[in-house]
Amino acid sequence: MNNKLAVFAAVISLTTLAACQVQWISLYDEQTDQNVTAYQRNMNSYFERLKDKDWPDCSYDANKEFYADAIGDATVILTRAQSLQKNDQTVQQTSALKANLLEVRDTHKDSDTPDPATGAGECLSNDYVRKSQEFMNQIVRATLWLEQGKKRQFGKVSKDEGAPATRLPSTLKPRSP
Amino acid sequence: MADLKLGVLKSGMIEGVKGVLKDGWPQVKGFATMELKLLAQSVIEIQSLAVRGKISKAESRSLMRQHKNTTIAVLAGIEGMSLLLAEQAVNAAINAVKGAVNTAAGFAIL
Repeated sequence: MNNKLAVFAAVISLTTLAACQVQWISLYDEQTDQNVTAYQRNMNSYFERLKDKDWPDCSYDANKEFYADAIGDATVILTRAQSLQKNDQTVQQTSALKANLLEVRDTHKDSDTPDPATGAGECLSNDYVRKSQEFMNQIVRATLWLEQGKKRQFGKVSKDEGAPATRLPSTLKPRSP
Repeated sequence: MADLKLGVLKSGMIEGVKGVLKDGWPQVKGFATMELKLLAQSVIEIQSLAVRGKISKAESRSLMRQHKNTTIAVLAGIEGMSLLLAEQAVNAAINAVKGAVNTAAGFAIL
């Protein structure tokens, strides 16, 4: 009787175990992959243009519309990541992407005080812009590396898990310079 | 400001991550080594740019905050990849049990 019970318990345990494939991290998300890539393209174009500009074209006022659009795009990417389950690492990465953009925006804004006598101001230094660009690219690289890892692991994509409101690809198309 | 040494910074960061990941380190070594090296180089470069007056104080502070955010993103990537690898190992073990039971039963019991 005890042997039969033990065999029954073993079969139940193994059945349960075999049915339970673990999943500790979200599936690959194609939307995140595409949106982050589009964001990177826009930001790289912006940083390159900014390095070539002189006052007043380099001023915060002359570029504040770009920041408004880019912050909107970064928020779309972050919200999409937050809407997916078990996606903590990608949420941290996309939060960092947005936080760095806000850093550049705030630094640009704070440095935008023209000399009262001449009316001319100073552009952000090229080294600052270059390093900010490098950091942005590094975050994107880490984000895409993880997404590609998920893609290889699961071989399938998560297209419908995100809230529809976060999927705004039209805002993430590359902008003309 | 005291001089920062790239080698010390780089090996400190790499050893720290390596110690946490242990068995998972070989699988993420390539990416992690390259990115942590870049992060260590960035600290040295920001310090150097600030000392030489190439960037303002406000810019150097902003870059250090960006550096911190970037480090979090890189470490999150490494953490996520380690989870993926651990998951792969556990699922492979579960599949092995399933295969063994089915073979023993002579048909697909599980």
